[in-house]
Amino acid sequence: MQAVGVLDLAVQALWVLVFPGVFFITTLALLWEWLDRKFYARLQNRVGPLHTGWHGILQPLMDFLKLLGKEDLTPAKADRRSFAAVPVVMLVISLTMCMFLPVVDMDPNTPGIQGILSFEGDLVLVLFLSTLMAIAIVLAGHFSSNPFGETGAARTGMLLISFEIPLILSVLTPALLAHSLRISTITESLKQLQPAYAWLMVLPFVVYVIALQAELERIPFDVSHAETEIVHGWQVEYSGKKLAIIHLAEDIMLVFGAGMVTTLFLGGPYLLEYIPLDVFSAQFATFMATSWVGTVYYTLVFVLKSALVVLLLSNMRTLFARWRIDQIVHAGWKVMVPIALFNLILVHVALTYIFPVLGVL
Amino acid sequence: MTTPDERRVVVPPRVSIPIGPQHPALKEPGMFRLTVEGERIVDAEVNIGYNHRGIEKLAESKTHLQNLYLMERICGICSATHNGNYAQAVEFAAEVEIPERAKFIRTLTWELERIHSHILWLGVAFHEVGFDTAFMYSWRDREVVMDMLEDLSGNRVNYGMNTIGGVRRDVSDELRLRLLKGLDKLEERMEYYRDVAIYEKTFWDRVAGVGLLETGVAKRTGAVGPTARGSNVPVDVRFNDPTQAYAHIRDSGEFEMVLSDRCDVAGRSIVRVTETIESVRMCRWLLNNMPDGPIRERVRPRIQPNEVLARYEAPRGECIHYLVTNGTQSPERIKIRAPTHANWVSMAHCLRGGYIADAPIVLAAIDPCFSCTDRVVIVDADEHTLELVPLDVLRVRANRWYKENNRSSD
Amino acid sequence: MVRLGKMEGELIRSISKRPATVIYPFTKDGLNIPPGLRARWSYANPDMCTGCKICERVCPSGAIEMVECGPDDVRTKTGFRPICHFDRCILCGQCVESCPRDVLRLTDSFEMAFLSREDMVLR
Repeated sequence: MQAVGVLDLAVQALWVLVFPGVFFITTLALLWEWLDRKFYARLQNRVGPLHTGWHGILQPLMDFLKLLGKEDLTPAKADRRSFAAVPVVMLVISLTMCMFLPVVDMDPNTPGIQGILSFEGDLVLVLFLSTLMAIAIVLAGHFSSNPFGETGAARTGMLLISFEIPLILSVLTPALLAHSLRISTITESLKQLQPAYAWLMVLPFVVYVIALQAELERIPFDVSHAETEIVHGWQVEYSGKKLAIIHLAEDIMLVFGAGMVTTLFLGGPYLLEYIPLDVFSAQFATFMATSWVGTVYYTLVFVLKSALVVLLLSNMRTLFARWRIDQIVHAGWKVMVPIALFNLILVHVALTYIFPVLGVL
Repeated sequence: MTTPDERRVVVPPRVSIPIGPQHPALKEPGMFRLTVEGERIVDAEVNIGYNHRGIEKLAESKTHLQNLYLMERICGICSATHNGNYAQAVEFAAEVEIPERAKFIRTLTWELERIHSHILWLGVAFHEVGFDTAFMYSWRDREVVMDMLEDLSGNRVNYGMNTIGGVRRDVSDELRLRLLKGLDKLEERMEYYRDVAIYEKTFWDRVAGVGLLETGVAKRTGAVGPTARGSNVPVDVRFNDPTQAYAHIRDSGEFEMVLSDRCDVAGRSIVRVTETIESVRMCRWLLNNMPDGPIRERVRPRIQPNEVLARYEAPRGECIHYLVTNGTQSPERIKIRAPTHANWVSMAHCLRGGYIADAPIVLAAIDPCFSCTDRVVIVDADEHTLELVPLDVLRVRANRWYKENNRSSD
Repeated sequence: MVRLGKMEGELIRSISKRPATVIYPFTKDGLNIPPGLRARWSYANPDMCTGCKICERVCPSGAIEMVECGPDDVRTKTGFRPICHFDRCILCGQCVESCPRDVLRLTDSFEMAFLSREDMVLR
């Protein structure tokens, strides 16, 4: 009994630390940064990372390692411990969030695909954690006790109050359709819905992607670390290892964001299951759930779909200029929130009145 | 429940945020102390003088011919401006008329430089508001005109095209065809920026209604160049007081001054982009109507005693070279008033009342060039002191000095 | 008119276009070096040089110095020849223009990195 327990623990540790846990997520984070930079550069008619590895694919890793070796400075006026704690907190929060992403089947006994962590109501926890991330950023700016950092922190707070609400509201639609607040159940039951339901997902998808761009603080919402205005805002005093960790945490946030879009709106790691054939609905799923092929297949589909989302986010980053903070708050409260609320009403009306009449339910 | 006299308006604490001397938004050192309440700028103080190099004094110890190259290095962007304007000033002082073809080539260099300067400004403006894509595109397209200038003069930045009495290089027929081809490409790209890029909503939101400089204020503070024309003040030396081939350009009647009545940063952007297209057309006109003949006239190295003022519409506004000659090879006194200097005065007005996020684009909107402008640092070598003199103090001192040392007496 | 995402078409077109970047030290394609480039200074025609010192006098940055001809040099009339302290040279080309006998040149070799100041004295 004792031996089994140890083995079990080792396997668990492998899941958490290597795949699909920390190592996988970190690799994916660096890969997404490369993809983002490369696509951003190509859209701008440049070449982007080029020399480190195949088409510069190792450049983000090199940048990370280089930053680790740089001098680490702490401003004299800063609160030393809190200042040092913030990057770690950010990294931990972002990694924890990624643990909820359903990439491969972790528990063959329950139907569907689960993340490493999965329980009823985990969607709420994830949303709470993403808010916590923004609060960590506010603290980072505050602890650096620099006017630029404080301005950046204030702006992050403004972003938080204007885009957290549409983000949460847009996530509600898949939850309503699946009658669940558990991420894996949502993915699983969305698979079984009629194609007509896809129309209900369009609007929340758009709202979510835009809110995600704000959550990730990328153009046009990069006010909190606007380089030309407030010199990278809340990051201004961070250097060396701390900056490396902050950058990594941001990349992991990108993995999480793209992964959430994939999971909630693009059908998660399922692809062939959407083909309306009997083979794919029954035997295929059983086979994939029991064999190692399933692990590879689910991972590939997940990575591919996330890559598409990353490309979409990069395109958004390329297309726009940076908005001023008042314009962002304006857009958040006068456009995004009404759209998200309107969408909820639409979903309710469609579910209770229209779909039963049309006979899609 | 509070009574009315107990109620207070709570204002956010005033924080003073320095922009500069080193700041990513500034390409050169300058200092802007912004007093902000939250995100609003309530007061702005402009403080320059970090880049003083003593060029005017140095020029007095060099010959006119050498000064041409010194003047060129006042500013990397308007090198042809200072170089050509100084050559023009010396020619005025020597009272020689340069050949027509030389005038055309000099004007061509100036106009090409205007194109490159305006595209550079456009890229900087895009960058200041975080529109990096358009920044990359516009600087890529700027390479076209940089290559054209390199082809014409032999150098990308310091063209050294002018000499006293004409220009140094001729435009051959093959070069003319190459330039015309480049101009076509530039015109197409600039029309894209005029019609598409600056009307991207996120960019437009950042420039429309920002950094207001009303026509009256622009006149009162003596703004020049695109800053003034963006506020609907018709000042453009090329049309008001043309020299060189600008007289022919004005007389041809095909070109007119570009004005905008928007009075904000968007107005200045529109003026600059439209002016670039106008410049492309001017270059084409110059190339097509270039007269034959020699390209330079010999001028004696010693210039007779004279006192002249040469004006030229630099890309950023009116550039003035005031030259006093004394019969030797060197100038007695050269005073340069770069356009940025005239535009500084209105800066504090533009910044006040805006958002801190707008400060970089408002600063960039006048296309500031610090090294052109900085003239007033007093370094006392004996006392080892360095004193930065504000403009009004300098004016008071100058008035006092002239009162004590009356000019008419000597 | 003003609307969101006006440049999308241009972005999509850019993906298939060749990048504008010139990967310079590895390739020189696309640098567009014009024939009349003013780059590295050279004492091209020593046979013509009379050692008149005009180039030294006109040089705006004092880069040209007249030194006595060494044993390997072509003997000029005055016994002096120009050398260029290239660290001071501003590549204006005034020496080339002022030379009465077409001795000096600014060649088009534009890669001008040196390891020390001594290397920068061009003979």
